[in-house]
Amino acid sequence: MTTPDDTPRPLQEITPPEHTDHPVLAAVLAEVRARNGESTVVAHYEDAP
Amino acid sequence: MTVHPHPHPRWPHALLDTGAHRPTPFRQFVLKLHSRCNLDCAYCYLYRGQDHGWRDRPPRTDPRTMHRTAARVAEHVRTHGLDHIRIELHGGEPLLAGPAPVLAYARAVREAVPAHCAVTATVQTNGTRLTDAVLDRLARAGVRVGLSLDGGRAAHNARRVDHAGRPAWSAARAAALRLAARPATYAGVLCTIDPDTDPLDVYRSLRVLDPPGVDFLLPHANWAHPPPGSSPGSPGRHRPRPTPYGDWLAAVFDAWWDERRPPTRVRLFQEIAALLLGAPSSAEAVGLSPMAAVVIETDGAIEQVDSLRSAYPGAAETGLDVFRHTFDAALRHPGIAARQLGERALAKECLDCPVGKVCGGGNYVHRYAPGTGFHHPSVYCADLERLIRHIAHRLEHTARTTGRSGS
Repeated sequence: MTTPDDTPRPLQEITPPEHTDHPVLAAVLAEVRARNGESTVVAHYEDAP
Repeated sequence: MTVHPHPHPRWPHALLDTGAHRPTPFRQFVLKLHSRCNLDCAYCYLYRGQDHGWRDRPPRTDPRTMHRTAARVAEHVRTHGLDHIRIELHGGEPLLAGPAPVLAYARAVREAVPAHCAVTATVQTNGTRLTDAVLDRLARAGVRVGLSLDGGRAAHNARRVDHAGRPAWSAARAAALRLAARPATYAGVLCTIDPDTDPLDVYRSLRVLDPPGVDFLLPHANWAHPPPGSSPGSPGRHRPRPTPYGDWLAAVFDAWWDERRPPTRVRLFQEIAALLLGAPSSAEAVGLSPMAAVVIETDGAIEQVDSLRSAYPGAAETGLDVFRHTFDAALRHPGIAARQLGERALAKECLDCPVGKVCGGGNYVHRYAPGTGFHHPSVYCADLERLIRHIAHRLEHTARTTGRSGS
């Protein structure tokens, strides 16, 4: 069990790289690029895959 | 239609002006086919929860309701010029009456919508009725299949039993193996988290079943009915706080992130990583994107998502139905409008929180407190912050050490 402290710390800035050899990050970047090209991104119901 | 004496909470039902925002059209229609289930899972919020409205519904959707719903979906598609929608064939257990009603509902919607609108159809099943013959028929009709499992071994699924207490695992495992051989039809696995299980064992056992995607779902809970092991309390951003679900998910994240081959998509992790890189979310669990799903019950009632039933009896109801109302009328319902407001729906604690834009207050259902409603942080607030900070740390390091610019 961990207990985050009660001092709000800012999240670090993360700059998406254009390329990576990391297979999971590459999959994430591909999805981010596709999503940034969409005019409206909506949230879908959790109880559907 | 069931009328419940329980009053809706003031927010959003009394306080939200639904005419003051521009609604986002529905793009996902959850079509209830069968309102009963052959399983009696220990944690089921629907059949073991406090809302017994399902008892008053017809067990099955009749053809008249199916075609009326399909016509309303088509009307919505035409009104908003949609070029793609998703339909989720749902229950109860949607395959309880065999594949024919699933195929009929999907066909009715596809025939009703304009030709330019693509329809992705998926049936979400517990797998116990998914024989080779059923799967063949679904695949031929272009209906994808999602499977509900709590892990890839019998022990993980001990809470998933039938009404006589017999385990569902052997049938579900057979369904998973059948689906693994049909990747074009396999939509993925939904896994409800049990923090008493070994997270790496659950993740690796699911990987063996080769699903194209997995999502790990937090058990539905709120400030009055907190997750197992927690006590009810006043809503807020309480710290310090134990984070068993955040720890469990962080352990799975590390195993997923360190895969050396193209990974199975894990929706929650992929959504959080995308949000951290500045993209909007496409899932209701995190982020601030407008929720675009609506449910049509077996009697044609238009409702909000089932998970709201875990808050209080009648919470999902809108008082609307496909025989008398359009889906545009549902977009003006306070409960539906509240889920399309982005940051404007967040509590002050969330607006001030450094991870608030990523977390987005978590799943709307988990923010509920009796009387005051949904204008609170999630009951999983500390778990979500723990997971988001963990993913941010790993993502930042990986982006810095493996990333490069240019071609």
